[in-house]
Amino acid sequence: MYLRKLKGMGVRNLLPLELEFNPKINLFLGDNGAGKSNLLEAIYFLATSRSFRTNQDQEMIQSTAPGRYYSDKVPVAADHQPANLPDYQPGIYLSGEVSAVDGDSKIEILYQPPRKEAKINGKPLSRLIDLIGHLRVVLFSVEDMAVIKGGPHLRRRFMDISISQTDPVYLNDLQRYIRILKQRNRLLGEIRDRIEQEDLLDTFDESLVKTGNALINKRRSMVSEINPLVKGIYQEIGGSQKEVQLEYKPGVEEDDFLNRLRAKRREEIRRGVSLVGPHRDEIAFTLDGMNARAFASEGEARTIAICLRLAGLEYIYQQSGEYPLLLLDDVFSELDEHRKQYLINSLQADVQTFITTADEHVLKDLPLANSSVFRVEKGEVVSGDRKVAK
Amino acid sequence: MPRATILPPSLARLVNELSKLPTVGPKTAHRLAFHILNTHREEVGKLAQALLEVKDKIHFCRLCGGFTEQEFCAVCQDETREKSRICVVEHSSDIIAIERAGNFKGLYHVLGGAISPLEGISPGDLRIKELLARLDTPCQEIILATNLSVEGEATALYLTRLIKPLRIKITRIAHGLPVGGNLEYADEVTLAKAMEGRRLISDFGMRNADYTQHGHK
Ligand SMILES: Nc1ncnc2c1ncn2[C@@H]1O[C@H](COP(=O)(O)OP(=O)(O)OP(=O)(O)O)[C@@H](O)[C@H]1O
Ligand SMILES: [Mg+2]
Ligand SMILES: [Zn+2]
Repeated sequence: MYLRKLKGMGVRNLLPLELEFNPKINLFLGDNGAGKSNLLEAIYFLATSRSFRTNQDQEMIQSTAPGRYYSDKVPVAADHQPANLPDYQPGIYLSGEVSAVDGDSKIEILYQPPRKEAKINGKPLSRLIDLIGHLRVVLFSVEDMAVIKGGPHLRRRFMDISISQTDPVYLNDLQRYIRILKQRNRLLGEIRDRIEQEDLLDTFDESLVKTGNALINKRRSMVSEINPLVKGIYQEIGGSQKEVQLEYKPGVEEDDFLNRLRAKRREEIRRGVSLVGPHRDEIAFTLDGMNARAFASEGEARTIAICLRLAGLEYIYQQSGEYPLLLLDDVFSELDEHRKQYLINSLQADVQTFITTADEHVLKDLPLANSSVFRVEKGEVVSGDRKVAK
Repeated sequence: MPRATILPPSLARLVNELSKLPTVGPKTAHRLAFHILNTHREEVGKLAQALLEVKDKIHFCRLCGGFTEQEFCAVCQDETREKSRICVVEHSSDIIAIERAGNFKGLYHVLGGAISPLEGISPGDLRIKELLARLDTPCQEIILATNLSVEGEATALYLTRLIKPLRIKITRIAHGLPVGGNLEYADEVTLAKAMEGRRLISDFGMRNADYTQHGHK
């Protein structure tokens, strides 16, 4: 699939946007702080209704401090326009035209806290999570290089975002699981404080196991599908004979879930927090049999991180029948010549790719002939000539 | 926030009250307020009276907890309803939704919500004792029609654990409802299907009985 057009306003420092993209490669060049990452963030937000840089979505909304007042107006959803509204309401509006195998669609998202609403082809979605899957994206940024050596939540997030975009049932289960976990944690605290009876926990245990097992199941098969992909890509890109292996390490095995909950119950009540379940899942990476988290070199870990993303891209292709968008934020400056070349060469002809960099020399000599170039300057994005500067 | 200062205080108050209503945004609140302003005093009086009357007259049915102006609601008073089937819902408004779907002929029981530690709602806050008391009279089937949300599902599981030892068939409405969905907002066809396609949770003592995919005729 690819994003044909993007319109928007209210995103960080970006001026009102109206862009047409290349179905293949789109390059965004500009100084540090110009707004390149903000543009990728806007695309990601349109696809997922979330930011990839912050959990505080409000941060994305254009600051309205005097002198930082860029776009003058965010259209308010027709039903909600009060008669005497000041012209400007802080918020984000984005709309995109997507071409996919099953036809074209228009996606819109309006975010004016606390409201966040999306429409597909003009039809409002009753639940925001139904947005996911209409525009699929794989993002790779400098921060994602930490996926191998950083905390396990990074690896769980990778599984979740990959599976969710092709499996709405998984996404739904994931949301439920998070809600059950919240309810259950509160309940554990109340039982500890003797506000609530312990027998109610049996009910939430049953919910946790049922929904949790659905997640474990799908994560297990996802990891087993990408394992050979990562291994293959690593040997090509790393030009190395070393073998990467991924192993899914569930926080608990399905048929042991209930027993482990029983065994941990006293401790859970004492600590007021759920200790057993897929929220403690992990993927173990090994490089030639050695624990990559502990022993891989910095460069090896980064290479595995890239391979993991590319495998994620391939996974979404296998599951959905078409490639998602690939958003590469600043990653080229972090790679050596060989890996840069490989990454560019590995971009499938039918993957729409968005690349940002502050240093355009990073991209010279790369086969980027059929690409569109955009210059980003102080929040303004203009489509430039179709050539990268030599 | 609308700039209330532009409106005369009484009008601003009305807009403010209207915008507290569910699904009414600021723009609709303004539109309604201006509409009321342009309507005959007599008509507005009727509206005001209706608002207060509904508060004064509507009570909860002594048996099922549904809306009524009398001691018992219309469903509970209806001699033709099957008294041996009880459909358990979260709110009285859910009864109205299921009645609109029209294919359920039993009685109801309103819990008054769903179990939710995060909102401080525990089983003791729901009309569960009242439900158990009703099961003394012969009951063939309990249909758990709480929402399919995490909280509604937890409530259904909790009730199943309570009722199972009483040797009563328990079913759960299932199919067709949007996952995580609210009963009240489901359309009639969906609800009718959900009621027909309810699945068995406990068929205590009825192993070879008439139960197949569909609960009853
Ligand atoms: N909510 C906001 N409102 C207005 N401006 C913002 C907001 N949030 C961030 N900015 C501005 O956006 C700019 C950062 O933009 P961005 O991260 O896209 O830069 P970049 O082009 O990716 O730079 P680099 O090459 O350093 O990665 C900063 O100057 C910052 O002040
Ligand atoms: Mg950047
Ligand atoms: Zn009644």
